[in-house]
Amino acid sequence: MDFLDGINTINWPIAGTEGVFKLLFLVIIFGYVIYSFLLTLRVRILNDTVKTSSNKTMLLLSYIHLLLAVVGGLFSVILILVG
Amino acid sequence: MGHIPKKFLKGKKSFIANLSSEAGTNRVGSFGVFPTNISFNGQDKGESVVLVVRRHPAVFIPQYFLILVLLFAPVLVLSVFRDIEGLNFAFALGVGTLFLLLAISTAIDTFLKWYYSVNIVTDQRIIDVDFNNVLFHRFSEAQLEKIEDVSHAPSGLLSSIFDYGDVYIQTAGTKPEFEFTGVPRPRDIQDTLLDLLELKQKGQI
Repeated sequence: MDFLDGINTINWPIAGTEGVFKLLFLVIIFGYVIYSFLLTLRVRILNDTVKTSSNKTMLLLSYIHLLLAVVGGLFSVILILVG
Repeated sequence: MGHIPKKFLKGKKSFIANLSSEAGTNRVGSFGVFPTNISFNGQDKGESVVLVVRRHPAVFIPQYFLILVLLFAPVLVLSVFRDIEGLNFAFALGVGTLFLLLAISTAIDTFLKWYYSVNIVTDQRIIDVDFNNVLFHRFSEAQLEKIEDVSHAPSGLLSSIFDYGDVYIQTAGTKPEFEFTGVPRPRDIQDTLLDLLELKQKGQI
């Protein structure tokens, strides 16, 4: 009946001392992605305020930044939870 | 002189002599003179942009250090977390990736804030766009004839080394003082503003 010993125990990926660090970094990643999203929105607004020939490049840069934040953030979340 | 509209050449003002060699430069930089590739919301027909000024790159030296710290932070973090039980290589890689992302993000964020925090001087008005955080930006403008006083001051050791400073413009409008912060060649900006004001008062522009 040993196999029933851990049946009511859930093995949370975030628990204990290391869990505090994991949670901290997950919060930072969440904030980072939100910040990148807000930056992209602000750049879209400012592109209409002052128009230069480089504006499209700047908008593209902000979209790349957002993509990097989402993909990189997701990658970090997976690694941190697995670790 | 080809890029300078004729109306500015009539008065033989000192700002034309100071700036004429750079007129028509359209590259992205901190100091643009008579650029042809910029317009703004509310620009009138025939209104000429005289100066486009952004902060001097040296203003962002603290941000450059922050980027360096973020790039080297994973090494420090890994040495700290090495002793914590239950954390392995995957966690370290995740944290390292996060710090690398934050370094890239800080660089892009600094660049975009530099690019969009722009001061524009035209023959009709001055415009001050402040973009200091993602939740807020300010677009202020004042007609040239509302300018009462212009002064400039270098601020700190770095400004003396790299020759940048703050230009203060007293106006009679709702925003009493415009501030062009950390801009290169503040003397030339002050001279240009006062010469444009004089031309405006004489009805030459």
